[in-house]
Amino acid sequence: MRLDNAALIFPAIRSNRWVNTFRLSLELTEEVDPALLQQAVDDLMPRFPSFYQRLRTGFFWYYLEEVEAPPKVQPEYAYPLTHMSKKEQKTCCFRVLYFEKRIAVEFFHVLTDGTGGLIFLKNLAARYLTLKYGIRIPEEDGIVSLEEEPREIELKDAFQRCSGKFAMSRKEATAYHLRGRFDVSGAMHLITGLVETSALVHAAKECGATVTAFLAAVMMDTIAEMQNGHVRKKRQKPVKITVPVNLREIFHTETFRNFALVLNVGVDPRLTDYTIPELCREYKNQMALEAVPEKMAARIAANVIPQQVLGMRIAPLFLKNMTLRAIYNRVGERKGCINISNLGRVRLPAEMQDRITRFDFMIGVQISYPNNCSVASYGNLTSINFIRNIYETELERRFFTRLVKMGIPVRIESSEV
Amino acid sequence: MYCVRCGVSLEDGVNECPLCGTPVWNPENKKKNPHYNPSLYPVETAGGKYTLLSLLTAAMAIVSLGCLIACFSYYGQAAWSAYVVFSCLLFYVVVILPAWFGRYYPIVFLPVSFAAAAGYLLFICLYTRGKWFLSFAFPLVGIIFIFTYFGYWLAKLDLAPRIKLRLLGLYLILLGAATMMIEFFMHITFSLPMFNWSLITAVLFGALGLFLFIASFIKPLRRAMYRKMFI
Repeated sequence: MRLDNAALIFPAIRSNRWVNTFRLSLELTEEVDPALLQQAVDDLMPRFPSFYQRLRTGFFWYYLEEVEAPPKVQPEYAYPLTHMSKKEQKTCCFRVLYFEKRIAVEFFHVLTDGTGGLIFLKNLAARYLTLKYGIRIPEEDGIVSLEEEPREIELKDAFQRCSGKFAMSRKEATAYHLRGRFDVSGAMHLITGLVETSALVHAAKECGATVTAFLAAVMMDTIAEMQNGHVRKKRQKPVKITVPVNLREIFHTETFRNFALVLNVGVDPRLTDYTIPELCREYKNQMALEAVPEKMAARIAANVIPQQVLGMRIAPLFLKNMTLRAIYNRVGERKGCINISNLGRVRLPAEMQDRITRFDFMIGVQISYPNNCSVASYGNLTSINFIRNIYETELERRFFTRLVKMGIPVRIESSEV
Repeated sequence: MYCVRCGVSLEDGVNECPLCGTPVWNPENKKKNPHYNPSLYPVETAGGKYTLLSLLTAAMAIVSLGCLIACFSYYGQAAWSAYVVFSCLLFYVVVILPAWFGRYYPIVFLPVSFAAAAGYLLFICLYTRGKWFLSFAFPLVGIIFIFTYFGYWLAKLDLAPRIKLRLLGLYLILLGAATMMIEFFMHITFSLPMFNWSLITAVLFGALGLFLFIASFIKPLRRAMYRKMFI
């Protein structure tokens, strides 16, 4: 299987220490039975062929090859999002982990994005619950029938179809970068803030914004404050948040593979000291301007058109990698301060709801950002996951303290002892 | 349980607030993380690297010392073993020394590496009683160093693309000129014919550099180049 357009970048920029992975997990009401979980993983294989893939290296490109056997489920053995080695990527590009009541799936980003991963995890949980309790789960809210054949639209690279004819420039101002003392062990530290969704929605509504906009605004405010502490006002750089946009909703498609594009939304702190409602307004306006089908198609075209250039196609892989890496360094991460990836409210069929208590979403750190943030809500619980590969927790502390000061109670969990 | 500093609610059983590190007083501390299993965290991965580096250092020291002893016991002076020792030193300074640090700092290591290379050549020149160091080897190393160093900064500096393109053009033109300089040094040192091959490289680099330099002033051309070739 060919890599989809967004996935092309991930093998090119991976290194021995870093690879772009993300993780989705859910918590059940009872302890996980590994044998049944393994059975569920096996059962999903014919229905989700685009997930059971391993990454191979060809002379001209990377490609995905179906695995012979489904991966073995493993007990959680280290910190979340442990580095997925090249050897492991050659075996299978995702892993299924369990720990007490939790089932987690960690994906290499070549396979899918957060939305696709969520569909997989939901179906895995549905299959597991069916095996364990013998309940019948209706095919709604992302649950699919395992008897059916996979549909063609699910396996297709939607970028090629939705690409516009004209490419939009990727030119943007470079954003302020957070820094810290890098943890040489390579461990990713996690701090989770658990918030009541109703409180968050209420606070967001007071600012006239959605939850994502509100969280992005709080984050921008936090980072602007941190920048004030380090950089003189005159020399400050824009504070921008990288927000992945789920293109499935914009282009009405149901692919299971990567189909998201990031937008950088932000403000220039030199202009004024923005308040949170003002930041929410900025977010809303910029999103309304950018997240429209025409502009998104042009943004996709900027990625798709170079892929079709003959010179690029016949170049050997190492040249392609060098080019992609150079482009990524120029236009990839430098344009934002931090990611906020909001999976939104996770919906499940009523039969599953009382057996699942919580959903979590985590994305690994980027190459040069030390922090990353991802959000998922389920029921009345929103989990805000901050992951970092530095020792400092300044960003997390300021962010959550700010929420507390705004009257939103926060409960903190961490991956440390 | 709450953190007195951050105001966030904490789990039972934590010793300190994960955000600010403020200690939490809790008589019933269980000291077990209910969510993850940190006792199974892999040990520091960098450990293997340092062991390997120490072993390499030791191996090179032993080889150099062994060669010196063998050479002295046979000839009574450091004959061929001097080459071994200096080669080991050069390799050590260029490859192993930077590896001790977590990341490569070109601003320090590049000059050090080139100085080591120049020193090595100086040693060979003196040892073989050659007369080519000052008039050829030293300028050659110097030229390569200057171009590597400025090339690094050119790639690293955060400049507007058009300025970068302009500088790249100038860089290539100068590189062309430098090849002519190298051949000139070869001419005065080894009495080789003047400007034999360097004219070709100078013209090639010069033309390419001039093209980029001019292109940096023409916006549509620059755009087209970026779209097609990511330059």
